[in-house]
Amino acid sequence: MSYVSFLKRNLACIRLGISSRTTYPIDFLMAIAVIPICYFLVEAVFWSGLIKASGNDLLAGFPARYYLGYYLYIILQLGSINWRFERVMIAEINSGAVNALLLRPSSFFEYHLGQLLGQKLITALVMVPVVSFIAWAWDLPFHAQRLPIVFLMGICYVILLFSLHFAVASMAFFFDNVYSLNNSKNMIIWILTGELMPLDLLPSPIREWVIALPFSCGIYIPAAYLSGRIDTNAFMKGFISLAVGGVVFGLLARFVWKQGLHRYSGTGA
Amino acid sequence: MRTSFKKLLDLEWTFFKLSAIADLQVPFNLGVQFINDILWYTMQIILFEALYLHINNLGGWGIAEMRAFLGVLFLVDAFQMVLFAYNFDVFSEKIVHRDLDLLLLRPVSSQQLMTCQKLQCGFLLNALFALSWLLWSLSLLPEGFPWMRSLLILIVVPAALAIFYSTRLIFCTLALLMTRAEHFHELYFTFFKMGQRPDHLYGPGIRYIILLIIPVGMIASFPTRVLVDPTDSWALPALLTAAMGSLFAANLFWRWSVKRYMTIG
Repeated sequence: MSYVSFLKRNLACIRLGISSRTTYPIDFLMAIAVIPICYFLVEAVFWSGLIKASGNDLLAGFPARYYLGYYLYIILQLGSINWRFERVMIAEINSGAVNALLLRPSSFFEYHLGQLLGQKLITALVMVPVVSFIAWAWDLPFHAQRLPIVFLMGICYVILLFSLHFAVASMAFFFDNVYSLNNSKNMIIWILTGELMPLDLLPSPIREWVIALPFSCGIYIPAAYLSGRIDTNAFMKGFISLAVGGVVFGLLARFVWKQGLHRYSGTGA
Repeated sequence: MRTSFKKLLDLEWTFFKLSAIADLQVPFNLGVQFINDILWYTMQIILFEALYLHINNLGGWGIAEMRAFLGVLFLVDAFQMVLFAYNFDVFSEKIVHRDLDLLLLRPVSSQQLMTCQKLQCGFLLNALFALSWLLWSLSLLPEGFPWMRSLLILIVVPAALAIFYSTRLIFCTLALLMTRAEHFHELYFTFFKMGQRPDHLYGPGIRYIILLIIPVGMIASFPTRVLVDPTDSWALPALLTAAMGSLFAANLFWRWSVKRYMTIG
């Protein structure tokens, strides 16, 4: 019975995330399509221009179309950081709006994770046909049959990363301003995911270390697997680092939240 | 004209002092802001250093020229963080909360109040770091660098800042014309990503867009060209023309949008 209510309230949060994403049509169009496609095009012109300007046909053993195929995954936005969403969580703790959620049967974690998942799912599902079309039209390396497992990794990564975001946002119970700390965290994640560049361009042994971290499951591993840069074996290893990272960040989030809440209640809130 | 410019500068100096006092209240935050920007610099450095492990030359630029390019980019970025970045970050929010309505009643430029009221003085440390990086990278240029040319920094960086300011203002001003315009702000940064890379990497069509239509390509590429390539005689005039043109266009668009905003009520 409790499982059913858990499922129901989380589905309600996911629906809330989807409806808040789709309320303003222009905003929805900008967020899910225009900006990600522009982002992809910016990366596409950069990497193809870079390979052309270098005077070689290959960069680190791959032609330009492999880099374009790699950046197609960005359009799905499963591994991208949602800055605005994190700021809302921090603002709710800072302003005391968290009180309203603490009184409800749902938890702060579930409420925001559900919404984030809703937003990510609607975006990814709407953009899959667009990604497939671009891959077909430009003849990019894109293994469509790998999409379901890549999707699963994307969702696992969203949950893992949310735990880390949640831990940092919960630090707002202790400090007046954690926005800067949040920015630092996002900057580091930005390079560790492979959004800045495919991680296999890094020199060894830094490359191996960075790929072994769970953050590489944000962009590098799924994007490289979809575009054929890595094989199934290397892809599956990503799930191990995700599992380990999930436990570590989950425990961290729980610890910081509990301590923060304890301190917050102690002040009479 | 001269009096109103002096008034603008006086007001800006007052804003600077007020912001510095406010910033110094939270020194920890200053430190984190500094580290954040240094992290961003590190990302850019890692990108190009890693790329140059696989290639020797990018459109005629070796690693030394690319480091100078990054130095210019960091310097311009640090100054825009000091002068107007925060104001543009909260621009849409201010419009939603109708803060502009009050500002329009004041006897000073509403554009200045909306875009340059809060300065982030902590980023002056980043500017210092960026300047050191730039001078170091210029000293490593293979053809050598006549140090008298470093005075050009005093011209090209303000010109680049003017372009940065104008282009951001145009995108942010859209918030006056529609209900939710936060994503146009994000769209601007997507375009600005192209400005974070040398313009000669792009094909003619893209260069046309980033140099003439949304001149983000001029923010770092052209000042670098002026500094590292003395034979490029048209880079400086083009940069200065673009700076003045974009400032004028942004101001015109702001005035028109405010007028429309006031008409709608």
